[in-house]
Amino acid sequence: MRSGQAEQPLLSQAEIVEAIRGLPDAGLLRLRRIARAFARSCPVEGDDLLQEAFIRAIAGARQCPRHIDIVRFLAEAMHSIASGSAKAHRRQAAAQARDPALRLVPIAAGAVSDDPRSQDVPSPEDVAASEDEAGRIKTAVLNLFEGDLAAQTIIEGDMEEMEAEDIRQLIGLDRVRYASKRRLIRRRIDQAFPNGWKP
Amino acid sequence: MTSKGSNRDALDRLTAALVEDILSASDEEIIAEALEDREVPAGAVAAVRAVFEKAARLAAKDRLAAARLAVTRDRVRSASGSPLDPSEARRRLGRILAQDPNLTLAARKGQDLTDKEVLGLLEDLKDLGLAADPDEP
Repeated sequence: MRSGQAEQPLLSQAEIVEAIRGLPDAGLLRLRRIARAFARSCPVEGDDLLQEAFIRAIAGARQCPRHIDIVRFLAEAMHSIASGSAKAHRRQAAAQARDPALRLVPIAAGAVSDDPRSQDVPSPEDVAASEDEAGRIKTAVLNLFEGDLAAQTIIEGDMEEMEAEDIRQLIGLDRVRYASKRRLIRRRIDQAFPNGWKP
Repeated sequence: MTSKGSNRDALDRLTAALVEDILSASDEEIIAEALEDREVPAGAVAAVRAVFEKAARLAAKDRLAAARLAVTRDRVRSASGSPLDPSEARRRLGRILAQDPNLTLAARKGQDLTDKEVLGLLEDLKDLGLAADPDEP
């Protein structure tokens, strides 16, 4: 950058492309793992989710503040796409349940709007059915750690959006053991739910 | 522990926490996990690069389609004789001036001109046969 020229607060599209191309192997593997984690809660495959996040970043549909790490920026994009896609899929499934003549078709990641106003509102029965299913999944996740009170407390803390440090203090583990426990939780969930949240 | 929000939201928060753990894991841990999952790291890396290159191609295709649409709209507007909006007129004047070093410095100070003067100048240049927009096909 030339001296005297103010640094722009957002990365340009060319800088985003350069940053992604310049990621080390571990950065790319990390992106893939993140894509798979978010894909668990939506009907889009991990690689498709990642591709859509790349497209939105390259096309400028999402802007990356200069101070944000590019992997985190792409993770946030995937989060948003997965969330929009999951909501649209639940609405579509609910509409089909009400009218079996409707055919359920896979939702392409790129076709999903992140704007909740652009979709129909699910009925109270749809919400209740979705909640029941999510409740069964929660129980299945906790059952993976039967007898491991620390792991179950961490998971419940995460579900309650507690700060990681607060959870650590609650269960009284030192930082190393806490990090190790969190890794065990993540890896066991990866293995138990390789194809999405299914009770 | 008291429940906060819906079960669905709770699962989403758990996912967000798991992703946060992936973000904070060391590079060595990430590579070790790929090996534990019997992935060949080089193959997985190549797969992600392939996803990116495909995304780049699709984004370029979208940009090209958008540019073509803009050109078509511009042609339609020119053909219909619709007046230019002032900002487009300013951009067009800028492009024409940038192509012709013989035009006066006064004419180059497009920023100081009113919208009406910009449109008038474009008309004058058109009359003189100097209004060929370099960006127009």
